[in-house]
Amino acid sequence: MKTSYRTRRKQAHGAKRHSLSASARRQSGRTHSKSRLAATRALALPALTTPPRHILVPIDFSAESTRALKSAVQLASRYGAAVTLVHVVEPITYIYDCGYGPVRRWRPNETLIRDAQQRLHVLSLRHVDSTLSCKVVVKNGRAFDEIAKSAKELGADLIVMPTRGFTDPQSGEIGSTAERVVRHAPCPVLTVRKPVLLGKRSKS
Amino acid sequence: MKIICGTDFSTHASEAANAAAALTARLHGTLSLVHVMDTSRYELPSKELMDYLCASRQAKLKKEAERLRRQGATVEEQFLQGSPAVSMVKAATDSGARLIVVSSLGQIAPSRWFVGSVAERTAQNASIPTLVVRNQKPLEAWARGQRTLNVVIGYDFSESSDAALRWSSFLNEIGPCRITVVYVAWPPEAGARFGAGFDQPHPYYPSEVEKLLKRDLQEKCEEVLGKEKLRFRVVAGLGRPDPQLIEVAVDEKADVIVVGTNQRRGLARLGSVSRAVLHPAPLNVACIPIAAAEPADRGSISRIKRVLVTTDFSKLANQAIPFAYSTLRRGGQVCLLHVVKATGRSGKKAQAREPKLSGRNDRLSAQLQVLIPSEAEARGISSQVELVEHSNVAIAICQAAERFGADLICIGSRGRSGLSKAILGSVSQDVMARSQRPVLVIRLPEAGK
Repeated sequence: MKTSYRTRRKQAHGAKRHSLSASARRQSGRTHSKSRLAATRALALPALTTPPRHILVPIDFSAESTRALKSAVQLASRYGAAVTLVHVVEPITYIYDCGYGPVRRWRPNETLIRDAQQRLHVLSLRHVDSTLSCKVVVKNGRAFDEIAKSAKELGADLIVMPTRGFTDPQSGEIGSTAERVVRHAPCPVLTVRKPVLLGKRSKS
Repeated sequence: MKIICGTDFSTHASEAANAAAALTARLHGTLSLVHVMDTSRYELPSKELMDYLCASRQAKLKKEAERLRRQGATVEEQFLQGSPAVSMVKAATDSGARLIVVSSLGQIAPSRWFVGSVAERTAQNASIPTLVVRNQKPLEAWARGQRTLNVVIGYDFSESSDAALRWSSFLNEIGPCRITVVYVAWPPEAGARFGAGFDQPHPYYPSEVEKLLKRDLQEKCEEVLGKEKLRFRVVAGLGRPDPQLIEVAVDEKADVIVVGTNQRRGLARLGSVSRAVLHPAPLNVACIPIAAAEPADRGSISRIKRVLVTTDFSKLANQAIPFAYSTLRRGGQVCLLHVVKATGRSGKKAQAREPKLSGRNDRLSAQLQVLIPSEAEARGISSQVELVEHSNVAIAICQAAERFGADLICIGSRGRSGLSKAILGSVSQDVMARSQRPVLVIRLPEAGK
């Protein structure tokens, strides 16, 4: 049963592909591919963009993010770019009752923000060369949202961040923050991962 | 410069002390000869017994030190009580020594499971390198400048093995060395990484994979050590890497094996390669802890020379190409990759499609060639195109990146969201999740609209 279904599907699929390619050939022939070549040429023309001027590095004070920072510093010193370290602090959620039922409210976690500011400063002193211009920013909110927003505000043209790989790499999932940042960021995102040891047997 | 040498007055220990004395004489340093009396052996010793033991051992130590002084080394004696390994390590850290030299009987199973080795415990606890001496003659001759030392360094791209590699500069300080860097590869993993020989039976190890591994090894060593004259060997091994390493070392007629150690404890130490090399190796072994060398981690993008950029010829994907070129300033290589989704046909059907496919491949390659920006050549960037057929696009991209040795993978993203993301998935995300190499995802919202 299974095989017959599969072969039938395969045949149908193959037939469709054949008919498509045949019709395409009939319609266009060589001229079509030539025009397509021209189209791609036109796309490639605004070539060689400028290297990044401002690199944003989201930091969550993990070893991975320190690694990403080191990579970012390498890139920045290569291109003479500015580096901005950003840390996002989750706000405190609390239930507020003003007579008409409970309301959920948020307020920024001031202690953590102050703390993070200091830690970021220390991190920047330790890892960022004094020749590079470096800023630290602490934001309040959801991580991916604030990272994307601050990239927009600061005019960053590259975000360097780690992918944790907590989830099984074979399942095709990455750290959710990295994934969301890629989707929301206004600029290219460079993801860095600590290489798994070669020779370590990976699941397959 | 100080070298610590532990002795228990046995023949092995005095041989190790000879080697240590020769090394210190060469380095114009001080040799600290340590004897530790293991007090845990005596239950409730009487004072007279302890005094007698201490006096007799101190006398022995003095005699041994005198013997070594006659060989031309500056020697100071240290008599300690306690656990041998721990006290020796403590003495080493307190005095700021650069090397611990110990001898080892080289016990093999099963006696080593019970007897426990001071050498092993020293290597496990010390924050400086430990040299376990089994054959002192080549070491002595080398320290006197009579011969070059054959060194085999076990390397596996880890931080601890970086430390081992960096320690070779210490060896070069003492005398001329012939260094061979050995990597024991696991063929199925290597095949899967490079996408070669994956469909072959297990022990299959294609020569091109070996070539690629050698290239990676060479580049990594250059990154760690700078331009040094090293020899490289990649060996395929299906089991544990330690017997392979010893085999290669014997084959190379090495005098010392240098291995990095993570200093694992508890059950995890059973998996330790350094420990497994230390015991059965018939030659001298140096164990280098990570702490012995300055931190290896300098970020993962120390250089950008080769950039892989993928395209499916869509407008968004093509946007990644100028970005890929912009990451290179002058010189370097860019590989433009297009992955054709394999249809999974095989046998006669595939043969029938062969001519048609070759025509298509030519067309696609031409299309890729067109995408190379004209300024690239003026900036000395060489470009190449690659066409791959694979059923999983993300895997194909990662494998191509490993083959190319890409320092960066550039990929355009369509940035799907919501329902379409859940159903269709995104190649860029898949690559981000799988790739061991840095991935630059380019998604320009304004162009996407």
